[in-house]
Amino acid sequence: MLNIKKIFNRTETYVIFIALLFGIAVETVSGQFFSNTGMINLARASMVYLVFGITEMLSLTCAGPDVSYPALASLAAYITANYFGRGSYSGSIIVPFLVCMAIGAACGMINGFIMAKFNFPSLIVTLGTSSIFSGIMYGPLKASNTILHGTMAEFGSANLLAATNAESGLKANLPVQFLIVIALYLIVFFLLRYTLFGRGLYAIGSDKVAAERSGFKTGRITFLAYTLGGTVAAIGGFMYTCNVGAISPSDLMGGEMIIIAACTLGGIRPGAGVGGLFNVIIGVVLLIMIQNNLLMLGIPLYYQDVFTGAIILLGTIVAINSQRTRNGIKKVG
Amino acid sequence: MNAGVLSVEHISKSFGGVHALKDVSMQIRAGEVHCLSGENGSGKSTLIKIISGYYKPDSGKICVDGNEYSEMTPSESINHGIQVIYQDFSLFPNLSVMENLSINAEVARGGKMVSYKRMRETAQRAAEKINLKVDMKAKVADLSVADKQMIAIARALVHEAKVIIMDEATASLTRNEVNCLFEVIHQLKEEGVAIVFVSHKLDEVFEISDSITFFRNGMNVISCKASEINEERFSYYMTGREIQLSQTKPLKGDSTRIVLETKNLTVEGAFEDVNIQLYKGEIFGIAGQLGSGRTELAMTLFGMADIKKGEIFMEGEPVNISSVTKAKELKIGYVPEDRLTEGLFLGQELVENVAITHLPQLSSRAGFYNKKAAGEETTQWIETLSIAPGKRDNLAQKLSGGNQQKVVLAKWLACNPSILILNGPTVGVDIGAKQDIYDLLNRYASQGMSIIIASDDILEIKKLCNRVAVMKGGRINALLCGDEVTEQALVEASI
Repeated sequence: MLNIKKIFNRTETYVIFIALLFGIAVETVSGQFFSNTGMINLARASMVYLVFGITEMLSLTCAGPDVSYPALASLAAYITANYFGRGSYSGSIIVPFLVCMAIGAACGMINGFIMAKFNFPSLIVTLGTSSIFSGIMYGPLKASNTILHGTMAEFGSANLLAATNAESGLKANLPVQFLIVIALYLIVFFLLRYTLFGRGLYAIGSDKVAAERSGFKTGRITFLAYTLGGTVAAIGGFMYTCNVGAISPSDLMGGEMIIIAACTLGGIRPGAGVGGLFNVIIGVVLLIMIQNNLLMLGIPLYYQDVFTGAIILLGTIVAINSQRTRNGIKKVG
Repeated sequence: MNAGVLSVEHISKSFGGVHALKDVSMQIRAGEVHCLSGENGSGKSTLIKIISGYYKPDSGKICVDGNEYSEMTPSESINHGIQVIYQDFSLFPNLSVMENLSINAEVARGGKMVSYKRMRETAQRAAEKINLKVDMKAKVADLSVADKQMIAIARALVHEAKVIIMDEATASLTRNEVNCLFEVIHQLKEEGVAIVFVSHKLDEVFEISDSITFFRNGMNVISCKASEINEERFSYYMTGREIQLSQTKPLKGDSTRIVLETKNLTVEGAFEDVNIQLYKGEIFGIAGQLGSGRTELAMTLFGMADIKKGEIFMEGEPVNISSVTKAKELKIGYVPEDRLTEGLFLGQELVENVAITHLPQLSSRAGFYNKKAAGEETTQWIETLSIAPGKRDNLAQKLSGGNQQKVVLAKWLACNPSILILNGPTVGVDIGAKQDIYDLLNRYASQGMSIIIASDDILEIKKLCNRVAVMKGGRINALLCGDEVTEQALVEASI
């Protein structure tokens, strides 16, 4: 049953509305947005962010923000690329892929162990582990920039789709890696919706004590959530490294804020068990759209951050306000 | 006969050196309603948490159906047939009604996957048991408190439970809903289910219990049949002291001096056309069930609502109480319904809690806060109101419900208000502290303070108020005065 009022009470409606409005604005000015190449470019630019969005969403749902994933992803990708990406390895891409996942899982377990065992705020825990991960990368491992060779570089440049815009003649390619994103979303969707782990994650986010009383093993679920998050983040790091064709350990650092903003904008409430993958997708896609297209709207580079910030604030205010029920009584607090 | 379905033997539990339970033993038989009574902090909740597997006992054992356990996990407890309905409902507001009703059963099955078909069936069955009519797809966050309570109850019935523990399960139900719950309880009794019932409402305890166990200071004082107990014995076992249930008549106040008057007061979605008068030195009652507009009216008089229509007069002058700040300037104090979230800074010391309402008076002219003066003042209030434990640097959260409520009272009395509004003044307050608070209110009223009490506790209203406005569906349904204020009249006007 379609309920109009309900639809207007949902954050998602507003986000999609803003995104469409923005898309139309870009289309009117440049005529490049709702085209085959425009869409492919958007998909390609969102790809890695969408993967990191899963990690962030898992953490936000059950506890709070995770700021360690850029360091975690960089570390896992660096170790993998350093071993497999310097040209001597020419075997299957599956091997480095699995190695990278394993490193990510191990790092995620550290997050998960601390979160499950000590019940600290996730921001503090992941801030700590983030420093440790990047410290290991720059210290003992002496990470530095290098060009990627061999299987990993080839994988990064393999295309799934190539399109040429009939009017402008511009070309756009969608990497094969996009299939990984789709696969990850399907798997995580399944886990969240149809397993006790997934439902438990939402229950913990809602009320941890109540979840425990219901018989959920909250410690184990938290541990698994961060392990999964670490694994997914490592895949994101792997994709990014292959795609760029170079080992550049510092590239991802500092990206956590934009993902947290995207998730919040998309309608995920930190530590409240509210929101899902769909919220990640719309939040990420809206932010990437804005970042990539502001130049086309004639907004100078310097003002892009101002604009992005304003959209994040505005979107969040609208979204949260729409969820408050209005009546005569002012809720204090 | 005498089939003990659940028993605990010599259970002890302490937290950081403080004994919460000392050598507690008791037995609950199949098909009986067993009430646990005791003041706040007497150990009832700790025992419930041990039985439900949330705490591990330091020593002693739990026997379910003849099997002994030294400890249990929450899911083991559920699998042994023990269900708890918690005071705070323990529901998941972000999930649907359907999922809330069935999630425990899914966890108890022990698989890895959930089946939505199975969950829908479970939820349907649970709802049918207590004739619950809510939209299965609705989010629990969007429901009323009473609906949430009914969902928590229905959820416990999903399992083939042997023991159902109801921890203050009736706290937010109207009398009709309580009757409905009692019918369910009778039905469960016949099926041989044991019910453990915890409630502060005396009339309910007497009505439904077969036997009662009293707790005091972490020990079980006595177990006996409910029929052997009367109200006096009850208070004695609860508190360990003979309480003088005061028989004084409610104060009449000075009807020639109207300190507060409302004319056609209306707040959208809450109440309309409310006309009340408050005399100097009286305790005026606003009675009514949950959702009748009682709470909203009290909040409006303290500046917490947007008034749509009507006027408020103080001492005959029209006033505009549009915010809490305005209300405070007009010397109105307000003790909220939920002291934990609205009335106290739980993690702060008593002195900070008391001082907060009148910081300017406690500060030097330059605006520096005088901590010493605040401390001395708090110590005085602790003595006046006999707050225990009586140290001003205690954290508010460490106090029992009754003493917390006294702290909330102290912080408003310290502002020397001419009108004090109390919303549910003794919710979750035990019998001893209740009487203390009543005495206190009477004392201040007789000294000339005008007091408004909004409450759904009929005995309380009857005990304290000479004049009562009974609200129903957002309107004043009856104004009772003097001898008209009887239990029957109050009930009839509110239903």
